[in-house]
Amino acid sequence: MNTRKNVILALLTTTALMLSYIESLIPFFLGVPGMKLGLANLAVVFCIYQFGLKEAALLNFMRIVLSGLLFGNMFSILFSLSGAAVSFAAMVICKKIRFSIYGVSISGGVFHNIGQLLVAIFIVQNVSISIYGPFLLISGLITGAFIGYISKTLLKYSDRILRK
Amino acid sequence: MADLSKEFEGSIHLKYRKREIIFVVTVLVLALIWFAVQKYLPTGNAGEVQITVGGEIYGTYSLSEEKEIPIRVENGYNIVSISNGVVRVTEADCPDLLCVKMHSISKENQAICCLPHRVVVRIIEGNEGEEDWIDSETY
Ligand SMILES: [Zn+2]
Repeated sequence: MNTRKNVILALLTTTALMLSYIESLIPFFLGVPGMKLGLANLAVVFCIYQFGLKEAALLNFMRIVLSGLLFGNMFSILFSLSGAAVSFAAMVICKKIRFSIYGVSISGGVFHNIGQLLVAIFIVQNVSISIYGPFLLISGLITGAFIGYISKTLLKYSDRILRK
Repeated sequence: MADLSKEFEGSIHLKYRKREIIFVVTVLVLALIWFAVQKYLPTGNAGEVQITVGGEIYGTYSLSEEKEIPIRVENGYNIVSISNGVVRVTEADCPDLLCVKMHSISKENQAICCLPHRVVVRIIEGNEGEEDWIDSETY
């Protein structure tokens, strides 16, 4: 059983990596360089519900370090890690207070963007880039809802296949 | 898995659903207010280009002049060009080159940033050369 789970986790990490790669092809997003849409969160949300928080945290960490080494640099690793950490913390809290998979995923999307914006402001030491805030909030909502929907659909099938 | 199967049966407690809706609405309202404040707060005339590196002002330049500004930072350089009231980063040696690929800016409060170099190029209010600029832009 354990091997089976490990293999599935490895496959999920690969999926997350592919999503990160697709994202890295979109050079910038809403005019804020370095910021990412957060599509790879799909694998993370799925993993939270399929396996649990610990597994999802590990997957999240692995995919950021790997995608940073493959398609980015030290800087992009630190930047993504901070966005992902804020996002993951928000999702854990929202799951604890019994949000549905939609609410959890939306909070992940919104806080992913808030986290990235805060880190960006911290890096450049200039609040003026917060002009992108409203767009980042809305795009976090939309991405989160989209990821929530896909994850829920996937889980309907995976539950039957993976739990055998 | 327990919480999921509950969801699939479509029996989410209304109380929990309500919390989520409040969360989503709060985010939406926040975004709208934030946007409205930026959009409708009275602003001056876009007149100057301010460049900061790590929060420190590197230089302030008139938007109406034709100029190439080389910015030297600890770990590299960026070249900013101001031409016809439009500002862009034309060259840089940062790892991602996103600042170069970014759209040019011409209105107040718009900004281009280069995260690896901690550079922000931003248009601020200024009265210098404002007539030239308005003429070429609005008429
Ligand atoms: Zn750059």
